[in-house]
Amino acid sequence: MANINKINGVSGFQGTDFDDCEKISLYGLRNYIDKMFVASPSGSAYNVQPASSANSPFATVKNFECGHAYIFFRAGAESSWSVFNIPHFEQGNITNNNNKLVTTLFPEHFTIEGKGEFHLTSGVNDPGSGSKAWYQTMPVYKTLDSSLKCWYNGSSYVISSRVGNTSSSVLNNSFLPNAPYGDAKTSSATVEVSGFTGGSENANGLYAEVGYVNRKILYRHAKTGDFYYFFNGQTWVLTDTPINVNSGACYVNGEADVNGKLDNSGGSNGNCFDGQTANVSDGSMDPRSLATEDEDSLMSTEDKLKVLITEDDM
Amino acid sequence: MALITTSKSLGWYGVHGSDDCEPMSLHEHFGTYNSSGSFQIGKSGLSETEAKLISIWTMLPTGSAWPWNLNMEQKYRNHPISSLRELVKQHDEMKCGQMYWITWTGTKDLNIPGFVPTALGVDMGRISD
Repeated sequence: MANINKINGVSGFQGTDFDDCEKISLYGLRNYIDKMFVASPSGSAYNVQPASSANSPFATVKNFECGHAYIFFRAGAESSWSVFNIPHFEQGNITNNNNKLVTTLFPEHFTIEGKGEFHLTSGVNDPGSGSKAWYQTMPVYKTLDSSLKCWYNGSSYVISSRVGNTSSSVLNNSFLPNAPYGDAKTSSATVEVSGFTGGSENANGLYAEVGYVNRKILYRHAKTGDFYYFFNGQTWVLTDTPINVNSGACYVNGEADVNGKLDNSGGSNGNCFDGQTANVSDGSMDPRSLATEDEDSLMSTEDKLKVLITEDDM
Repeated sequence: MALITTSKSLGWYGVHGSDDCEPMSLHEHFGTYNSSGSFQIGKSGLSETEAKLISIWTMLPTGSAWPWNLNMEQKYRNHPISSLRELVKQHDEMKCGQMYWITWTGTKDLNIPGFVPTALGVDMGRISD
């Protein structure tokens, strides 16, 4: 939360990772805020929204939304200003704000084998494509020499020479731009989650690096973007809520190492992974080391090991 | 790094990563003027004409919007009156943990490592210590 002091102009970012970020009604703050500015999806303008009309069905901006940056100006005469609070908001005016940084939910840059290094952009500005901050409401990436673009087509990230043009393109069938494109590997760190069953099965699969939290990599479910795997300072946790396990989050705790077991087999702790276990591997360990004969869901069995290592080989 | 490709961009400087965040000196990166008024090219390699197309704005502690651009550099960087030199020095670097909005009307991409652009429609992240 941020206490907004008696100053005219305020800039800031909605969403801190230590609490459960929620959108905050702009109309509800109309007694304190005159107008709010936010970058337009066009990439060439700012949307300006008077707080007093933010409840209109035609309002462009109705809320402080998580993961967005805003500028706003105070309402009324300076003599009438009072301190007020915007939950989950972090001020960005020049001041000593303890060097607070963004944990990104999309990668800042990555390299795809055989294609090059891609960088997050402020948007598309191609001849023929016009100017847009996003494409299909997703970030756009490009190589430094602009020869290749990486963009979302509505169901997959695509690498091609122009945004929206699929000629000579490759797809990764992923919500994230830095998941592997077929055999073309990614420079981003990845982990594989396996073993969830039933209604939790959609949390299985590849997770790719999107940022850092608590000085460790933050992984995001590559196929859907719906789950996050992060280090909370003591243990790794898989959650559907960036980036915490506060009220309402669907989560399961892991171990102190990135590789290991996600375990909620002991029953109910009030979330949707109740009774579930799964394994996480970043590929740096032999998955056979996760197996025990007592477990119900073995990653390998003695029979399978015989295929790889026979007594004759010993 | 982020590539500024659009004419308007609003975002946060400083991301959690494998390396610590470092402030970025704007006059060292995009250029300035020496005491005799000659343009000094910055690390970005932009020409004077190109660099004049950038304005990087922030909010001062007083709540006033304030720009950095070559016009400010030219007027105040080497001004004989020290209080006027301070006008450009109060905002001549991108500090970790601050908000900025950028106007760029050039045709190249501006490379600003550590800048996270935002716009309506996409949840780009969370802020933390």
